[in-house]
Amino acid sequence: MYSWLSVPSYWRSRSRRYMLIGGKCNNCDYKFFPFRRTCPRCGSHLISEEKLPRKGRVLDYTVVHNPPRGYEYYTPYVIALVELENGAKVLTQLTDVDPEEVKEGMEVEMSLRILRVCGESGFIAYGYKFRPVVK
Amino acid sequence: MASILGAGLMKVSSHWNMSIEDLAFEAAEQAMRDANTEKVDAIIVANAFSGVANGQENLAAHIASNLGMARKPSFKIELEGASGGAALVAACSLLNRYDRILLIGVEKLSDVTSLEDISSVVSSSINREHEGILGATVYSHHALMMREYMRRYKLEERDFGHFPIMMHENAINVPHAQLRFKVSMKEYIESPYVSTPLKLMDIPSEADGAAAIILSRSDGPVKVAGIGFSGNEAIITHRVDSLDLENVTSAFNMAMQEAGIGIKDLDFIQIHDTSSVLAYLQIESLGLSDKGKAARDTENGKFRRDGEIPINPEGGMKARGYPVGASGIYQLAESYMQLKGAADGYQIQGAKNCAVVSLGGLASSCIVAVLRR
Repeated sequence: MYSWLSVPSYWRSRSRRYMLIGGKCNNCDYKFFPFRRTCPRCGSHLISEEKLPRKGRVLDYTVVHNPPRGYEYYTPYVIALVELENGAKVLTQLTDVDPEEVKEGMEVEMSLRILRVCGESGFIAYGYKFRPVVK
Repeated sequence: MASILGAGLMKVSSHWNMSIEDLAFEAAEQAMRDANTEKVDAIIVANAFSGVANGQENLAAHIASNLGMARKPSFKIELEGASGGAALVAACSLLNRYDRILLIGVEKLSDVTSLEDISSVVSSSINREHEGILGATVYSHHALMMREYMRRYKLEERDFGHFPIMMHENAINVPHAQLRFKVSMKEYIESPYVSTPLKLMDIPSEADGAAAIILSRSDGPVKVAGIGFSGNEAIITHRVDSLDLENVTSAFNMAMQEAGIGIKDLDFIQIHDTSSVLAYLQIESLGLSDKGKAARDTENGKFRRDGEIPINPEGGMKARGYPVGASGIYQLAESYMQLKGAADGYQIQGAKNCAVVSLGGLASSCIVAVLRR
């Protein structure tokens, strides 16, 4: 009951989640994620889908020590607010990095990863995570 | 104008031997006794998590039936932590139809017995499909705001200790408070991380609780003098500035304007301190401190029970306890007792006006009520 993850709910947002497709406001040029049909900044309904850049930098981050059900295996993990190159903000897990090495301003890039494996149904949920830029 | 005729509340705790209906019954009985009435015309239940935590929906009907009021109209209002505030707004409007309304806030979280499950339950308030799936929790949201606040105003972790220390101090004399013990700065610093830099001491512990008030059109000892309600983006990345709680400011201004009073007229304020950083942001959005200065003002005693403008004289969510959906009704019941002079042991002498801030999510909803004796 507590760790509910519905297959249809995962399925319907998969392409936007796999490819980082957000919204772009055609009135005020605000870019945002996740996609929706109204602009969070100016309220306009003139929104188009926008494939967002895969690179950005860490604005704020936190190391999670009390995970929800289904994420125990990954604990402790890092949740970060990343600002992409075009200014859109994305909430994400950071991966391929020691939590102690994460810093504000760190350059990161998107990578497709397993988000969680769901208990009884057994399906594997994929989605974006971000990792330090590989130079 | 709506009046509060009576109030009741239970100790915030883990009430292992009581069901959600039992809790509601107890608080409702107390409130009816206090109001010296046996009859109400409608019931509004404020609750956040009965569906996900207790597997119980149709909650208002079950609570009404258990009260022996199966024939009465009943409603449940859910807006996470702001359920109580939202229930008050709804009740004030419904007074056109029902003369006397029983508002019950109730939350039953001790049925959920593991840390992971509790984390899941309370994190159902963030967006499940876009945020929850990433492993984000309601605490990781607070933590991101705390990090941003620390960076913007060049603060350290210890600066956030002043608020919980004050809340614990306030709760000591409050019989219905959950955590009636003092906390030192050393204990704050040494408390474990929930989600860095957010510590266990920055947040309330989940608990059971129930509080109730009787609201009426007719004259009563405490009046609802003004109400303001304003929202904010519910998904954190949709906020242009993650620390902007402008909706708290505007809800507060609305309520104060309706009440026709100024900030100097307030004898105390109840805020919704689900984390130290959210407390500081509210203090600043209410205009009680300059931006980035709430920690300093808290340290200097400005908001103590004997300070310039007392905040949360009962210990707030942090120490009185945080029965989520019931918390707004707790604030109202406590304020009613303060204004009536019935807050024995934690009374603010001569209190006449107060403001109550009820928040949902990370201030995605803000209701402010001004109460007057």
